[in-house]
Amino acid sequence: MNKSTKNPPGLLFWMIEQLIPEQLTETGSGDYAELYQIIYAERGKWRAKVWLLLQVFRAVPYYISESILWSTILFRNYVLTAWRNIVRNKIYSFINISGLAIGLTASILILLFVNNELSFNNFHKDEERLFRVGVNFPKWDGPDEYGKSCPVVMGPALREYFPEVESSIRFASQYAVVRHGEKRFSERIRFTDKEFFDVFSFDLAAGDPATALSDLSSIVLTEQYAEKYFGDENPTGKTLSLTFGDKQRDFTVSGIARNMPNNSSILFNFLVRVENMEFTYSKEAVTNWGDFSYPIYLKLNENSRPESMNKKFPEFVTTYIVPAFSKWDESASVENPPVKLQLQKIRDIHSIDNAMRGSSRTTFLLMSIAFFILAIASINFMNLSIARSSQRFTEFGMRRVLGANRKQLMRQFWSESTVMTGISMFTGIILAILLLPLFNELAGKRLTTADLLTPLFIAEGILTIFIVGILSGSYPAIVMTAFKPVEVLKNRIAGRGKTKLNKTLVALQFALSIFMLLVAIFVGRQLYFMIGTDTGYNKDGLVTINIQEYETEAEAKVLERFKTLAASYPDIENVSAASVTFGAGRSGYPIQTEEGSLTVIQYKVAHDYLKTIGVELITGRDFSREIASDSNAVIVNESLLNIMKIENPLGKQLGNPSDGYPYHLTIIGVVPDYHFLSLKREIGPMIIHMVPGWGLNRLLVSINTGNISETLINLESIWKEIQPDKPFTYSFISDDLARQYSVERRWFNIVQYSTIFAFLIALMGMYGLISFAVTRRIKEIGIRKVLGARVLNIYNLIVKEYVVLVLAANLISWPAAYFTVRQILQNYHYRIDIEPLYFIITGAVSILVMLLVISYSVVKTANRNPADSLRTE
Amino acid sequence: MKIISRVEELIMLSIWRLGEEAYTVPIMEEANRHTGSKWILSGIFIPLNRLEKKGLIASELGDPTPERGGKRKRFYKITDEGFAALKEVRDVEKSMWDGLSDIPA
Repeated sequence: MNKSTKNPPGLLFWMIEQLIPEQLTETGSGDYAELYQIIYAERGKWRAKVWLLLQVFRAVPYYISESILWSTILFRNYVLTAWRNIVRNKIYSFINISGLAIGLTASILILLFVNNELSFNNFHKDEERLFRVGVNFPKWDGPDEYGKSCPVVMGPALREYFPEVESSIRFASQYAVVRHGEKRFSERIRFTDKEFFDVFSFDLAAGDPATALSDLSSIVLTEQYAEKYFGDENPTGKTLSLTFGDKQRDFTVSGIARNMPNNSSILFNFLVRVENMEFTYSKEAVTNWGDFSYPIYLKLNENSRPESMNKKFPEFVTTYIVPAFSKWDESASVENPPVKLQLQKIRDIHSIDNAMRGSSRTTFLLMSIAFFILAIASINFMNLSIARSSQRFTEFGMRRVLGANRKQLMRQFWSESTVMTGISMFTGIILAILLLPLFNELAGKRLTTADLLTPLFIAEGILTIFIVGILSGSYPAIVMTAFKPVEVLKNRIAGRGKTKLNKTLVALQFALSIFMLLVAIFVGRQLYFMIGTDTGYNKDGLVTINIQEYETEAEAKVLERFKTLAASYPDIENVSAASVTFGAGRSGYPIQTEEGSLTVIQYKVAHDYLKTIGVELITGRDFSREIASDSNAVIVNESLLNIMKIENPLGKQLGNPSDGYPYHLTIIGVVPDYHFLSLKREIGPMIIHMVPGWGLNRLLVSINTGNISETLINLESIWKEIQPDKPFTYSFISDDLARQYSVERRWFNIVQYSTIFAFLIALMGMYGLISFAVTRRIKEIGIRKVLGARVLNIYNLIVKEYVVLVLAANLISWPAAYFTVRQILQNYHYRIDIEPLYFIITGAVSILVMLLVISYSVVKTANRNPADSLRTE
Repeated sequence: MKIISRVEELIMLSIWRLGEEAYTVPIMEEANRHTGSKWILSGIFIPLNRLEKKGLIASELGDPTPERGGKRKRFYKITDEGFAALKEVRDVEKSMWDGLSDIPA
């Protein structure tokens, strides 16, 4: 037999060695070597090598299946140990898990919000080809402000003129009283083109999208409204009666649409053909090029590019709009177009529409809040894990002594922190689902559990669990298992240095919480200021009722009859009417005097307006029934006089520049500057007049606030006598005003709750940290007690350590809070001052909180019998 | 006691047959001789581990030899529990096959 041993080739041999199960590493390689010799001897070098190569390949499947099996067994073991450890320390685990869970809940909710915002209008087929027509009036708008209101007649014109346009969809609206059987309500009806369902992807629960709007008398309604009017009946084919003003028409239900998705800017409850508007409103509505009221959406052909259309728009404007405009605006010409058009991508319209209200900024700010909270919670989590680990040195030492190798120990701690994170995530999601209705209320959205449980979210969730789990477990896993078991058991390692890290983290948490608290305080104060400020007119006890007529004469009749009937009720003080309620007002009304021209806000009113809203003239007189020429009279406010530098207002003539000279409006009275718009804006120039031409939409009634419910009933009965066919829709001005600030309200609520969250988490963090700090020093405290120290002394000892921490936290957060609050308040013309008092109060509160936490921990520990403390080792 | 698998049974029987010289390589060759299928070392390692973990076989390290690149051998023998398990398998098989007619040719 050949005695010389042939060495198997290094690389292949190394590979096969890797694939041998752990328990047999020593002997297994010997087996392969032995066989190698034999084959070498029998068949030669190359066959031996081939054999070895083959072995490598064939060993792989066995290796894989064994690994998986082992991992599952090990996994189960680690999870079990992890779970036992968690249960062993219920308080710590509870604090840690709930802290992180809360942080996760907040982040989840906010992420849902942001996702929803960013996904608006993305569900339409071919959405890259869908656009809305943006309109800019250079005279009144800033150069980049494009609104969405177009004339109805422009829709077909665009389709004819531009080959790029495949379909044009108009989306007008009008209110009508809808009737079926006993049910009768005032609803908003949408008017659109035949191809609506071809262009937009709205699902129909019943009916065929291709034909739903082929008939002029077809109507499509949503499931919700189908139920409202038809209950359980099948609505398809049935008749709905719609009454617009005094014009009635029957429509046949041709389709039922699914309820509107929560990310659509295009919303409807009832949909009919726009051609009906000629009857329901007027011929003017569908032919007038000057009436810019409703959006128009375009679907471009596949190969067309929006840029080429944008370039051609000026020509279009010249062809169609300039001729129409020059009839009443002589400045309109080819060189000076009265209107500029531009295509807006359908994915952008949500942020465009909400930009005015700062919604894209909202998104950014919300994400910052989510990030803050999550940061606080994660820091907490890691902090507490670290603090807890330092208590377990003895345990680690024992485990090492009993034979655990370092890798196993590391894996154990990682699995522990991952399991905790997993539980937190699960809790966080459940919490988020529970809080969804409340959050929807706060954020003005309709988010559902379905939005939450998308595959993307779930994947992100799992990823987060692993990242946070491994990160927070890293400290104990890596650092602490590195120590030699002997040293640990002898208690040489006290983990002194880590306290600094812990303290910094807690200070950071507190700083963030204090920051949020300060912002919340000032935002809240601003809100209450705005709601509470005297508006300058009598907003309490002022009720507005929708007239719902379309013709001036009809409106005036309603007013007259109402006034007559109301006279018999003493609690109804004054009745008047206006074109619009407070907070709005037709802006951009140009006036001209000898001195110059100005754009003002205009209110069209009826007699007794000022009496009704409770504003007294500074000088001059109110509109009077007796004086016929009062139809050309106006009342202005101080601001207008100041800006135009008019010294003697009474009798001054002014007019609309398009009417030309002589100006036929005369100033008969002056009112003080009252807040007819929101407090966000400075009080601007305003005129009130009774010029005919457009209508009065709302009755204004001032009532005695003593007996509101009864008076409301009276109002309703008066209404029923005058307008039995129309629903009684009313609201209180004070409510309307509060609603103006709904954005702020929402904001404030979110900030408020977030702050509570953040503070709670920081509190838990501080509590956890301090209780560890105290328990770590049980022995020390025991000794001190034996030596005669009183609980108070021990208390002072700990307080000294942490006072600095809280003061530092305050110091960091104050400047940041100050700048942020100032930034926010810039948006409001009428705003509160940033008083230092609140900073001091917050600081004091934070110190108080810290003292409380310390007291609780110290009392719990220091009251133990020193003998017991010294005995625990 | 758990019923051992076919593979485990065959390996244990190979160990039994080999007596003193029962280490991985001869076990593999013995099994190959009887079953005709090509067992490979990887396929032996794992069942050997499992059996040892279950306590049905026991092992001892031998001396290193030069052909094995200086590595030792691991010698296996069947434990009492192992024999009990084999007996159980045989009893189960007997009772299962009992009364069944012959396999059709």
